[in-house]
Amino acid sequence: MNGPAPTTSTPVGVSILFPDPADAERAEEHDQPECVGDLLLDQVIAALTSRRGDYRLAHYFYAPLPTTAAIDYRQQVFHDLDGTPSAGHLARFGQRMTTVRRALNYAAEVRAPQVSWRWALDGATEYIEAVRDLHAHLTAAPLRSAALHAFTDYLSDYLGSEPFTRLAAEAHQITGELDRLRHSLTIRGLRVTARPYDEEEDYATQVAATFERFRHGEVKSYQVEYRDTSTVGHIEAQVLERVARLFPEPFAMLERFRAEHRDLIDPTIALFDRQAQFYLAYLDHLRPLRAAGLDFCYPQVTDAREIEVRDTFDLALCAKLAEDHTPIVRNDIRVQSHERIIVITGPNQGGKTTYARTIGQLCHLARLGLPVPGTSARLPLIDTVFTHFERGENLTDLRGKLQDDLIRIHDILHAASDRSLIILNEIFTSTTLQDALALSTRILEDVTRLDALCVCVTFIDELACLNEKTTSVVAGVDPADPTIRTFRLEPRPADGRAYAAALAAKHQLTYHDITEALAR
Amino acid sequence: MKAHLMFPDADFDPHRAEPANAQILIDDLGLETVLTAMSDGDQFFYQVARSALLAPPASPERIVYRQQVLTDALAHEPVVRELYDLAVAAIEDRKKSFFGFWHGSPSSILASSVTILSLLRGRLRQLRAIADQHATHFTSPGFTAFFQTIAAELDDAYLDEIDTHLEKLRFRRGVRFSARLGKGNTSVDFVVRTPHERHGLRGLLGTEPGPAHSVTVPDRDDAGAQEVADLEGRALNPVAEAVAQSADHIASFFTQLRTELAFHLGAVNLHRALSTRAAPVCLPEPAPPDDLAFTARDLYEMTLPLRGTEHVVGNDVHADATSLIVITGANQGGKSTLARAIALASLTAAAGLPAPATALRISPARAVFTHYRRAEDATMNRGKFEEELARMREIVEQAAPGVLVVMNESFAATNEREGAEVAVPVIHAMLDARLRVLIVTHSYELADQLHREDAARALFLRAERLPDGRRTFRLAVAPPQTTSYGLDLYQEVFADELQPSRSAPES
Repeated sequence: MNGPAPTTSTPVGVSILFPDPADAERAEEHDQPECVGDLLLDQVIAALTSRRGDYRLAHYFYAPLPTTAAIDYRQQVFHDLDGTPSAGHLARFGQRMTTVRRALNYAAEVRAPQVSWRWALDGATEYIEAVRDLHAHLTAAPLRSAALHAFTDYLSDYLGSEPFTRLAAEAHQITGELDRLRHSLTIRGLRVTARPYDEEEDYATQVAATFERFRHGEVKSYQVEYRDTSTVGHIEAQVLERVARLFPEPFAMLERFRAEHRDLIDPTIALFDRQAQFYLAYLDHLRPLRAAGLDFCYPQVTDAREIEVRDTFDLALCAKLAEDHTPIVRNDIRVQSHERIIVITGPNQGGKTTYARTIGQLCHLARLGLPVPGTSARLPLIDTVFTHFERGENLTDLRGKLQDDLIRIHDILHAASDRSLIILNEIFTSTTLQDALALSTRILEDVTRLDALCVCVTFIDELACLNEKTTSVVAGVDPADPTIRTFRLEPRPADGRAYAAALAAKHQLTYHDITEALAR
Repeated sequence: MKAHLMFPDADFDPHRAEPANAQILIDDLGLETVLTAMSDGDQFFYQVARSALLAPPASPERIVYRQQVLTDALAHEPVVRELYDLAVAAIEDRKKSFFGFWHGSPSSILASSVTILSLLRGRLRQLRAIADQHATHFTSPGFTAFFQTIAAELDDAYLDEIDTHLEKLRFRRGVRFSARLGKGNTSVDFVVRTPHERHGLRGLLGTEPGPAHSVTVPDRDDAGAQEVADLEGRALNPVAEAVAQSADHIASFFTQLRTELAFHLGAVNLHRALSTRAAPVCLPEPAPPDDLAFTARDLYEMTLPLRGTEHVVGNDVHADATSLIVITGANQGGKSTLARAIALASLTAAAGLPAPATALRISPARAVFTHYRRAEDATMNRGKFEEELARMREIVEQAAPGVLVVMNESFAATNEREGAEVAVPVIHAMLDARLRVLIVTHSYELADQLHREDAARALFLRAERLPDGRRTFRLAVAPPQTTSYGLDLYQEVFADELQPSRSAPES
């Protein structure tokens, strides 16, 4: 038993991730969608959840929200937390709950009874204080989100409830009793004896006082360092049992407490603890990127099919680039309401696939209620993102690959709706240009009929002006040296192959170069 | 408990930082000879003596205090040596048992400390015995207070108290400590309580009233035994430290005592070294700095007799209220020697040491700086001169009102006119800033200008030369003369060329 698990038996009162708490349970069942790998979001999610394994947050990043209202529910919470003291308070609450769980786990594992009972009591105390502190902050903070308001109300009811007040009172009383106890131990050889408290003086002080008259100045310290360890040895456990015999009443109370309050963490609060980490993890992930000058914004998610994003970038790639101190190129995305298919062409390694991925990432992240890369964003509410990326060459059977491609695309078109986003990355590369053109044209016509949104990365320039629903974007090159990529994707008609000639010249592979070389 | 044999109200610090010009001073004034005489082969004495000689002077009253202690030491040297040897033995006791400390556990630290403490207790008893036996013979305020402190602080009741602790610290009946319940109900906040003596029947039976519940670690349970050892160690930590630090405190007292006795025994050595060579010694009368006092009878250069020179010549010097002394005269007539004598007199008087004279009244200089002609003088006069200027500048940066600057043939690495042009303003500036200047010079230009301008605040001494050219090494109060009788010296050196050889083998 590691992370906080909402017990499915008891109904949960409030979820800060879903307006309907029941959706929280359904989210558990979501597996990783196929598109997540292709969009490299699996890397992002792994990074997000790397130090939060106990919370099992990944599922929340797989399950898209069905309505703009649900998205808004989450964005409101983000606004309450992004850059405010509340994030710190929630983080601290999380740390304290981890401490509580550790204490309760230890209480369950350790064998010495008096030690176990005490750990349970200390865990309960930490829980009570953590919950009270959280409540104090939430009631005082200027919160706007419905989610946090609902949770705060829940917390108020919980703190005022009879079971909680009784728990707190008992914990407080017993802790006080135990803290007041004083006993004495005598060690003689291998024998340890517990006795009532001895009123005699502190002997070290007496010794020091006797020799104080010789003090000349500062002298060095001779104390030996002992590491603070909370594990209890078997002899210490027995000593504790003897000490308990000196104070039968307090220990009886302690034992009763442990028996009566075995499951003390409220499920809604446990769920809150876990779901809060969703927000905190994502904000923590953004922090270094923001510090490096990258912008994030809260997208406007609508039922329209328009896309308008400024200064955006690939969330997975940017972490790597930032580490290497490579500047990150930002791009705009513009799909007007009558357009549906973005055809991306241009030189190799020019950022085409990255651009396509970025569009997919934006749609997926927006559907999770998250802030997205960019200075402003208007995005459609997509029901599913379908991706068709290279799956690895089966070299023995090229015809098999083409067949695979067609089957996969067929399945996608079958499953997609007019609210879907389909991303096709360099399909039909394993056939002749003529075939590829014909097949691609047919596919895009199917997509057009479906009226879904589509991003198509291709080397076939002709597709860029296929019909009135296509829009063309080209990966840019430096006008001075066409071998240099700008990684800026510009909306304009497809280019042709001007760059290829420059590339050839650079590597001395023009017709003239080769002829000259071979004539020697 | 303090030794207070150097100052009435403070400890002497032998590790005080030396002045920046310490080594130059030692070299130019021949202080090594003095230090050797004081230390008599003992490296510890040497360090203490060196530190004392280079320290700035205390007030006249505190110098007198120290001289009085020295007087007692001179009169009762064997007792002082006994005290010194006792202090050394106590420090050795502490050092010998020290290695036990690195075994790590509080129990072992405690055991080692108790051993050391027992040894030191023995030394304290011996100290008390010496005091009981000899206190009445000592008259100086320093020693009187010292012995009184010992009688008061190391009385029988206190020594018994130490014995009681040494017994209790063996914890024969086990270590008892109070505790409370901490994290997970582990026992924490250990405070060892005073061990009880159990007398009578209960003591014999080993029982005491009240409930008691025990755990005994079974045989061969090494982990359990280690747990108990750790528990005991945590409890004993502060006690072990208190004992160890107490041993340190006692050792530090003996160290301080040793240091201050080393000074006085060094002074006794010096006194003896001079007296046995029939050189007059006195305890100088210190005067306040503003008096600018300097009156000496039969003042001589202290290192000469120490180095074996016989028939050392003394000089009377009357330089009260004088801030400038100019010494001129015949070569090798004793000019540098007198300059050194004066500087050494100031240093030794400041330290409370015996002075090389039959009588001396002096306001000791706050510090002494020397500006000597460097031995390697040969080439590059211009470069040499600049080197002298740089050194003088260094002195200016370190000096302050009340210091003595001794210039021995300064700025001689250039012609007389230029040298005087540079030197006079330097000297005037120093005098006006209330420094004392003592200058030995061959430059008539310089000496004459000073004579014309500063006669009111200066004393002019001239090395004597008899008509036949012999030097008496006496300096008389006399104005500078235009020649230093270099011819005499020439005659001496080239004697065998100017006169026919008397030992011609054939006639």
